[in-house]
Amino acid sequence: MTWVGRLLFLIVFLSIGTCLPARAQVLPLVVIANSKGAPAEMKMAQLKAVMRGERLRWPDGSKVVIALMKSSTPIGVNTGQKIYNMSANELNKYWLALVFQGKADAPNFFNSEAELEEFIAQTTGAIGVVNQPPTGGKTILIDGRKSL
Amino acid sequence: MFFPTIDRPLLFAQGIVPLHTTGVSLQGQNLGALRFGYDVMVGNGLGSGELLDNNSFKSLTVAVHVKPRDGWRMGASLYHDVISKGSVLHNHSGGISTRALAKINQNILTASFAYNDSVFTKKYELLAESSMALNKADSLGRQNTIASYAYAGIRLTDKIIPYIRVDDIQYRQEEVYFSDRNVQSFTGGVRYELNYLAVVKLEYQRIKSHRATAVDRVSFQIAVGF
Repeated sequence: MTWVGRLLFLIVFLSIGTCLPARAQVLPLVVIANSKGAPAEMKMAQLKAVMRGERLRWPDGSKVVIALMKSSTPIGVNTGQKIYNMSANELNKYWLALVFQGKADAPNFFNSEAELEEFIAQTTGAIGVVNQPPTGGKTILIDGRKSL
Repeated sequence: MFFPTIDRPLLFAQGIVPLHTTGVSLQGQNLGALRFGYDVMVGNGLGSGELLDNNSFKSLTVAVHVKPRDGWRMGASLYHDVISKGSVLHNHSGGISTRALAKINQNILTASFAYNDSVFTKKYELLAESSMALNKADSLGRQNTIASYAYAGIRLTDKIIPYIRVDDIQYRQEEVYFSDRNVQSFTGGVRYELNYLAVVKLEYQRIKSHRATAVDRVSFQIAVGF
C-alpha cells in the first residue's frame, strides 16, 4: 500500500472512530437496600417510582433514602440509562428541579461502591444501585431477578 | 435556568396569574395509578406585601393534576381572592403598581397541559395553559379575561433545542381590575444547554397590543445555577 493509501486509511479510520457515539460499558446492576425499609422483591415499575422520588415512604413507614453512584462513574451512567432512561445531565437536572420545588430530597451520591454500601448498611430506608451484590448485604429482587 | 424561554409567558408577566403570596399550603403528589397530585393554599392574597396583610380576606388556591403516563401532566386550578378597595397591587407587570378602584372579587380558573417525550425519542416538548380571570366589582360590574399560551420545543441534539411560543390575552372593554390592553405575542428562539447548571438562550419576540405599536425584540440570556 502506498503512503497515500495508508494516510487515507488512517484518516478514514480516525473519522469513523471519532464519529461513533461514545458508549458506556454496559454493566449488570444490582439493587441493594438497608435491612429496614425496602421489601425483598419489587417490580421494575415500583423500583422506578421509588428511584424517581415518587415514593417517599416504604410500606413500614420509614423514609426512602436513595444512594447512587456519581454520574461520572460507569455504574452511575448505567443506572441513569437503565433505571431513569436519562443521560447524566438529564438526571442531574431532574433531581435539581425536584429538590428546588421541595418535592423530594436529593439522592446521596458516592464515588465508590464501598462507600455506597457502607452508607446503605448504616441508613434505615436506604436503597441503592451497585455492580456486584455485597457480602452480607440485602439484595432486592427486581421482577424476580438479582441483577438488571 | 429552568425556564424553556427567556421570559415567563405573558399570562404571568402581565400579572393575570398571581405569582407570590405568603400563606400555608398542603401538598400531595404521585397518589394512585394516575399519579394524582394536589396543592391547597391559603394566603394573604393580592394587596398584601411580604411582611404585612392589608385586609382580613384570604386567598384560596386549589390545584390538582394527574400524570397518566410518563412525560404527561394535566392540571386544573382555582384561585379565589378578595382585593379590597384602595389596595396597591405589586403583581402587575413592568414594575407598575396599580390601585384597585373598588373591592374586587376575583376567581381565576386555569387548565394546563405539559408533554415531554421523555420515554422514546426524547425530542419533543409541549406546554399549554389557559386562564380565565373573573373579576367582579359591585360598582363596576363583572368581566372575564382570558389569557393563554402554547409552547413547543424540539430537541435537535442533546444540547440544542429550538422553540416557539405564542401568547394571547383578551380583555373586555369594561375590565374592572386589569388594564384593558389586548396583547398577542410570538416568540421564537433557540436554547443551548451547556450542562444541567448552565443554559444559553437567543430569542426573538414580537408583541402586538391594540393600544401600542408592535414591539420587536431580540434577547440573549446566559442562565447559571449554583
